[in-house]
Amino acid sequence: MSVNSVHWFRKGLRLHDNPALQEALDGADTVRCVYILDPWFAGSANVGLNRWRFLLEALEDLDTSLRKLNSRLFVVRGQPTDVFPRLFKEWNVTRLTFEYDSEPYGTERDATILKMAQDFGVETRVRNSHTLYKLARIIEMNNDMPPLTFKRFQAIVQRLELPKKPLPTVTRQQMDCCQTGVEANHDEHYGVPSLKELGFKTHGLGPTAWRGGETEALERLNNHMDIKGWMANLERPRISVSSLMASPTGLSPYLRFGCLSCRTLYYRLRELYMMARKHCTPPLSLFAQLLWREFFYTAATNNPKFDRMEGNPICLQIPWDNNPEALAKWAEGQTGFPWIDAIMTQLRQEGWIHHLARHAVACFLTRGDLWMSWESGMKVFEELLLDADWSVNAGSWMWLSCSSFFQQFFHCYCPVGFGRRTDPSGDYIRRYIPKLKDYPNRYIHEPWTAPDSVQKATNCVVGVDYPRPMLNHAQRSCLNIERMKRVYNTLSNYKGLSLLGSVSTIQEEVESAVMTESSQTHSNVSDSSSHSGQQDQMPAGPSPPRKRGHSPNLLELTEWSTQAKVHCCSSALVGSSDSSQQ
Amino acid sequence: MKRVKGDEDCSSSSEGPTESCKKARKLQPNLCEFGFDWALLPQEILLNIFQFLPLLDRAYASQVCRGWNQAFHMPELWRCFEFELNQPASSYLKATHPDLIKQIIKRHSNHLQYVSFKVDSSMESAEAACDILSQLVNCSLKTLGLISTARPSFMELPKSHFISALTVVFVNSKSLSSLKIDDTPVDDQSLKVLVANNSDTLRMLKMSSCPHVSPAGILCVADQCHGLRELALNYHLLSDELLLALSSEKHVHLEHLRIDVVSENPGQHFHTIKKSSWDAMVRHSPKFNLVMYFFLYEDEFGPFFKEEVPITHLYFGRSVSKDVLGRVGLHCPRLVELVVCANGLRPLDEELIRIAKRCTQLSAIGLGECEVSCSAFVEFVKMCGRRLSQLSIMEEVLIPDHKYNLDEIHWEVSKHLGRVWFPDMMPTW
Repeated sequence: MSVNSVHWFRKGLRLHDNPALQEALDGADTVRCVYILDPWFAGSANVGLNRWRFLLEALEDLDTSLRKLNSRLFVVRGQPTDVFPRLFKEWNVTRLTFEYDSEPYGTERDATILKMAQDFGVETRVRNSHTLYKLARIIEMNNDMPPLTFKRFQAIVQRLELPKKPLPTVTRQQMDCCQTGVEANHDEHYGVPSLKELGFKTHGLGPTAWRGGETEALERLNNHMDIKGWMANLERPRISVSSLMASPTGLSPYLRFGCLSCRTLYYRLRELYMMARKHCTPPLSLFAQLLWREFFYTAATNNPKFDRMEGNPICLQIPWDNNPEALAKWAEGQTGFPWIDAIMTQLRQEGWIHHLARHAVACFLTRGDLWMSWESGMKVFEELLLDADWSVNAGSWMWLSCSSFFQQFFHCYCPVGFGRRTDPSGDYIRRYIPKLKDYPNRYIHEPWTAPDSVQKATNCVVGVDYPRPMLNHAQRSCLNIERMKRVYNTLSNYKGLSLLGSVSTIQEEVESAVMTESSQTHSNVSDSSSHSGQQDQMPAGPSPPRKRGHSPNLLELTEWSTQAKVHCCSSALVGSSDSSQQ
Repeated sequence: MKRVKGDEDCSSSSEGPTESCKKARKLQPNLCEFGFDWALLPQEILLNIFQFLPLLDRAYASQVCRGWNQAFHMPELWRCFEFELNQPASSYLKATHPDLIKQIIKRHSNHLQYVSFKVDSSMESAEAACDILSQLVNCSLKTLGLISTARPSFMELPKSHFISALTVVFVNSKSLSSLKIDDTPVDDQSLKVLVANNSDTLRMLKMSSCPHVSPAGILCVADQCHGLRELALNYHLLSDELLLALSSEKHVHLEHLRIDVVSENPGQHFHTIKKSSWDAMVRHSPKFNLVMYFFLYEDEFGPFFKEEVPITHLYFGRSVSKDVLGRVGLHCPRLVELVVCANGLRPLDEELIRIAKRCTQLSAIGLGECEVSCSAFVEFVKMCGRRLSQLSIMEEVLIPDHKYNLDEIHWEVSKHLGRVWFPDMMPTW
């Protein structure tokens, strides 16, 4: 019985550290690597041109690498549920392999395909390599709940063994043991599509700062490790204007598409650190980027409603405004605040912005200024941002809008001040909003304050050549901090004056995080301690019902506090609301 | 309805069939397994139970029978109501059903005592709120709250329209105790009406961002409403006279005074309040809380913190200079909570230590975009010790130095705080 394998690429667009692909090759007579793509949906999906370009480049790169191994990439047009039955028959497939996808949409789609394969008598082998760990393991170690604070997540990860070592790349020898039946008309049927084929206009499209593909990823990885002063930077990465620009060693889009294995990166970082620090164990902070990514994947994997507010058990129900006009101004970089507009312009043009830039625009859209739903921002990022994965994107937006994860909401990023402190010379703004290039440094972050003479001299008059600021930041932030406070006070039934006290910290999570970290100190911290360690913040009334070892989710807190309020109507009314009144 | 054991027993008894049937029929409809008739539940108990139910569930219950319907309409259940007025085009939230609103106005307006309106950013919602207000003629409200959940839509209404609606309540209520009218076009004249009718009962007045009110208008309130315990307003309404009126002998002890200091235009000038006025306040109400939220440009802080001021809760919503934070340390001995959004990139070591030394009541501090060296921070925490119940420091604030690095600092701090502590984090993805 000949073994005919098909390896299905979705993410994991690489040949190095690809356990599922290795399974496909294992003892196979023929192997074909497929990527399934539906050009019909290309236009309607919320995916912008840069993301498609990156993906297509990654596919081209895979095809080139496979060619060197006497094989090819098969890009099959259609939907998986239609494509696979056809392929199973045509190629006499006996084994199907793919990398595990932890996202709810992914697991659903894969369940269908696995069932289908079973019906066709096709063996399936699924392997985990998009995340450092098996996410189910992390959840299990946290009493069957995904950790909702990063500290707790780190504590759990610290207890785990090291991630699986990355596998070497597929070799020519391995491929020689199996054949790939490549037809003469392969390019016609199975070639990588062009942007034009997907319906994009490519006239005047400049070169990209982020070239897609595994080859580029590995080269960047090498350069990333070679940066002089990398170790010094590790201590205290200071943001400067250059950090805002597209980095030639940046890796986030490559991790998202799987052009670079996260485990490869992990071990390279570890190796380099131990070499430089004479075999000292690296601190968790070395892997911060990777762990944040892992954190959001873990939080999302069992929650199909993770990407929305309504019906999402971990998301606060905040009364965001619904204003398409304002949203459009933000999305298109027409807010009148050069710092915000420059960031959104870079995002649209290049597909990547620095994480602090993301904080700035996310804060501006949601709790800082526009008071609009984080879901709208998430969708814009999904379209434009190269490294925006479903889990990470939704999770980051919830975090930045203080909708979840028990965040303090007092720190607001000023669209003028924060910009000025990060980009004092105004170079970043001049680069992405060339209209403003002649403004002196003094005025470039708030051009509307420049006297008329100065404005005229720069040939860019505010209100004519560049929009007026769409709001008064001071007034807005004053309103908004009050609104956030009201939401949080209602949630925790807190009636005090403290701004910080409105947010219940899950002291229990913090404490048990430490307990797991070091089993010796801080003993006797009971699991059932009250959920707020602060004094003047104890809500009046009964404690919420606590299951043993069960961290309260936000919905529990809401349900409890709503009940408590139904029969204390006569107290200071404002801020208390029975939101289920209809 | 299920036939229960009781019935069977009944019908197999020695009684004649007609009589036992009658008995069975009587018992059958409302019988539960313990043989108890729900219809016999006394109204007081029903009321108690209904008070636990959310409105929708209560409404369903009221459809069960006449008795429960009567209970549903008992005045005690209609003392409190929150009208939620949202338009689908401008909000994601559901609104209170218009029929329900009509019912309430018809049958329960004279039962209402604690009322709030939550409106979204559309003018229609604000208009709807005014509409309802104008119809509350039979109401004797104790509490009224007008809350804009997003943009202040009350401000977009024609002022007269709003004022006349509000005046209906002021005139009819006569025993208003709590009034929350932030972000509305209320004016001096309407405040006069408020005072004329409710001066004996008014305890709380929140009116931040009411641009049509003048210092004289609010002074009138302070002069007449001697029971005022909580007041929230913008800085432009604050005056020496106001503070003195609030500290007059006739006046009760003030509990909270909340002041928002907001910059409308860059380079705005703010007036100063005399130290003597603050001193009078403290003498009169030694326990009062002074909450001040600042949203100013760095160079607008001139008039502030030059002399001692009895602030207890202080929030800087925009960047504030090292110099001003130094003055805070010198002049705010009653400080309980300090929250700083941003400072800029010079370490605040000295300023923090001074605050630890001189603000002996400080129990909460939050630092956003600032810089403090690890050693100074540890020193700060050591000096404050366990009184710090809230310590919210963004991770980037702490600068490692020769004594401590980032991994060590949280142990040091936890030691001095007496509980486990970590700085706040932001995703670096």
